[in-house]
Amino acid sequence: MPVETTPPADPLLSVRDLRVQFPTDDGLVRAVDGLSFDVAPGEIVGVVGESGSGKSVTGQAILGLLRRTRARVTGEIRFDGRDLVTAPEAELRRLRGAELAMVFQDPLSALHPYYTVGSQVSEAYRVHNRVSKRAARERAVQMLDRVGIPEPHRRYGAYPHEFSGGMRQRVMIAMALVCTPRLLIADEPTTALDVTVQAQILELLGDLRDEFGSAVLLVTHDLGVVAETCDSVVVMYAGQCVEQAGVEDLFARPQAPYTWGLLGSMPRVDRDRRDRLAPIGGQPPSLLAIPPGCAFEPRCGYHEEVPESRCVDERPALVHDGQGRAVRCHLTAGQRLTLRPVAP
Amino acid sequence: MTDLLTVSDLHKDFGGVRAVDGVSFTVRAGETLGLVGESGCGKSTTARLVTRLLEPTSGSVRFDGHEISRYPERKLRPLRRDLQIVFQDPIASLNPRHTAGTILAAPFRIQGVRPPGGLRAAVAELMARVGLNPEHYNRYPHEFSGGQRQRLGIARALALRPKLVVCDEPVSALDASVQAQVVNLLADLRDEYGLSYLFVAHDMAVVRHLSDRVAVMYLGRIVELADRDTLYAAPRHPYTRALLSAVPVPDPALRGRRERVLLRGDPPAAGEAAVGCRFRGRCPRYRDDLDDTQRERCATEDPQLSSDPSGAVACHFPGH
Repeated sequence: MPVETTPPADPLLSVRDLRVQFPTDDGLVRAVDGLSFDVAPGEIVGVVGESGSGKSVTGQAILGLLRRTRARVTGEIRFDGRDLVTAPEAELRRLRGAELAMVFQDPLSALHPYYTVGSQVSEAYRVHNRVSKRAARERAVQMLDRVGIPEPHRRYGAYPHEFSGGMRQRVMIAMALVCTPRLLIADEPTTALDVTVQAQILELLGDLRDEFGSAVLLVTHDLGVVAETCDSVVVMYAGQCVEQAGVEDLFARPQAPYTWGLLGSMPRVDRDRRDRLAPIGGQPPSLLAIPPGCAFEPRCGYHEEVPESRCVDERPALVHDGQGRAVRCHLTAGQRLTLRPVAP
Repeated sequence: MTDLLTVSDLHKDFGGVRAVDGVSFTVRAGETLGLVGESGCGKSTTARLVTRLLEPTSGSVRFDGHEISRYPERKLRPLRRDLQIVFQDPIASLNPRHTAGTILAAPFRIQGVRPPGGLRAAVAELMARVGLNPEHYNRYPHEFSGGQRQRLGIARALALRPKLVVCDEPVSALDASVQAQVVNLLADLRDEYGLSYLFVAHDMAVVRHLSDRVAVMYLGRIVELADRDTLYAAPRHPYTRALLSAVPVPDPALRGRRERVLLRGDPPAAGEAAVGCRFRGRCPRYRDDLDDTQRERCATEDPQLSSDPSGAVACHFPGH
């Protein structure tokens, strides 16, 4: 099997050969199956995939949220030089909230219903900073103001249920950023929101990155959100990265047949209307039985281009081109150039 | 084209909350009307009112020559052959204790229809037509994937070849690659059987893909209704413009180059009767472009949906 090459960089977060496996009665679920990628300081990296691709589990593994589950996490998650996979729980607790923070899809289940939103934001600050309650309150009000909560002094005392979905997500972001973490993991932060509110939240994430210099790992199913927000992208399928690229490169010159399929599946408001979409056939594989060769092969329209049924028998390696691009596919670079569907 | 469904001044109150507040539209035979809007705008309630899963507070629903807004269930049942609905969440709308075969045979049984060649063959043909393996007729809903379950829901709705299918967010719970399969299936079935759709969804791109005309709802009202190409190329209501400009586009080259109409605030919850235009609190045009006299009009006078050759819009100062 070809040797996987390592991308160069001096990253803030460096994930190498990450595997997350859940033993179940039906067998071993390979949720993440050998994932490697980097996040540079201040960079917004999109992790995009469909349900079951392992994108959310990746975020949870980085934060150590799988430790109290039956999940087996192996590989390396190097954050600022420390390996989070092997770090003691006390050290993780010190990092969480202070240097690593997370925003979830559903802020209602992440906020405590009994406490006011302001007290939850100031508590998040006081856990990691020795300051008076008054100073923490001031800081919280400042953050609420910064994320666009109107009348933050008055709204400090409101409860989560008194807020709309968009306002709750702003509170979550305020709570996540109150200690100016170096890495924010945002797991589908706008999926539950209306599109006009999503636009506001995505703009806010970009502004806050510029202001605080926090890197963001944006986990999403939406290629549109990726295109509008991210600097670089990791495309996941069945627990593996199938393609990595800078955001402009990915959309202008996608390399993996799965990425072609995703782009062809999308109806778009920015292009002429097509009479038919070009979907990917079939379903994603069961994570209990990922094909031994290329995980995408059963749905791929190009496996006959590769001789000796290698796509069925041999798992392709993720090959880096040394310029920040990587693709996991047996097609040659020349074949990918000629076979890639022309954008409609 | 004849009008298959005509809805006039439809209202639905839930304990004083006006979920649907004076909605009128028609669906012509053979056409697809898209109904688009954000959460709480009343689009799903409208879908349930026209299929009479809910009873309107007032207003008229005329389907295929019948005024059904006050029909009792006894008179509705024979009409349901021609008026069907597909729901967003197939797992909640399919009986978990019934096999696919039982689920798909139910429409024939309930309506007393004996398909030529027998029930079993009709069910097998239906399954094959929506892309399910007919050998799976003994499987239960949980044994199918999300996309397959939605195919099952579509097959059930189409079993008796209805005239109108109301689709309420039929693809929004599906992953992108599977969503496209189901969108194509809906388009193929429409063409093959000459169906009409009322296609209710929040996704502007999916609605554009499937609809001939599109109605945009905001807070219980239709604020704009136009031909698909007109609406997407030249939206006139400030809300439609904002909605379209907020759709994330998978093209980083357009980042920062598209016109962005950012709305402040969230869509407000439906409420009681309000004075003036209900969108003005978030309206970028009201905020930035109008003078005091114009604003006064927005604040006091409720804009009505008024039609001209290029469509209908409910705004005192629409764009062109």
